[in-house]
Amino acid sequence: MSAPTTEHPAAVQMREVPEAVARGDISAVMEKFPEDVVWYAPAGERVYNGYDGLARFFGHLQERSNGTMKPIVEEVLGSDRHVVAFLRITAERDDDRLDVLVAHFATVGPGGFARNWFLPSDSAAWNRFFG
Amino acid sequence: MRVGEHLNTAWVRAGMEAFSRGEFDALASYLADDVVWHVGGNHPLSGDYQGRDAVLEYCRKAQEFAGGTLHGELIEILASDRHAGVFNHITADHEGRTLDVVLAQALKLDEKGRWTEYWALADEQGAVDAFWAGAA
Repeated sequence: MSAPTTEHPAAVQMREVPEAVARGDISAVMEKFPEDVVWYAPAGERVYNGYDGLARFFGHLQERSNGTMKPIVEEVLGSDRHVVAFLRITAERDDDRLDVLVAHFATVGPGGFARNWFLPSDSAAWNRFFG
Repeated sequence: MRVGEHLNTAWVRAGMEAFSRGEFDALASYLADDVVWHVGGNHPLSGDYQGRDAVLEYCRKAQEFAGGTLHGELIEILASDRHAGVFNHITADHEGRTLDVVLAQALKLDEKGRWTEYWALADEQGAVDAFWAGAA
């Protein structure tokens, strides 16, 4: 879905994150976050710190989905302080298929999105697929 | 309602404030009949609550466990016609244990702004699990 013309600049920046993930361009993903990024997730390590942590988080998703994970942006809401992206994430592995709505919350800072909450709506389905 | 904000931002704020005040009859008017409320984590209240009555019962139980101290200080609400995202500073007390986390709360909204689905994640999910460990 293309960005609405009135979208907040922080929302425009956030929209580029799932687009880079979909391309497999992790360096473009990292550009949106500061070096001391903190990433909260409901499973796995639960808290991922820094670029190494972020790389482990996305690397695990790509590995478990055999590279099929695809984030589709439904909507991004932004302000000067915060942004929330609503994403539909699909992935496949053998006969297993995942299709869940995910909300990605983030604080907006000068170096990028510093604190991030990554929330699948159906965490049981998420954990079953990626756990 | 504040100048320039989306109607649903004011609507979500009012619902969240009703929850903090323990005004569950008021909270009911913000929930769709078939609302689905996902409570994450690993504690006795974790699970999916289906329908308005089940959600209100969960909310009453949580507020009762916290002795009425479960409170959300709203940091910011971002909302549209379809979704809302709430940054909420949650505090509560129970028999000397305290909860103090920032909770990211996501909502799906219907055409009337009623909440159809809710899910959330705290910055310290381990602290959330520990706090609610004694709730049943």
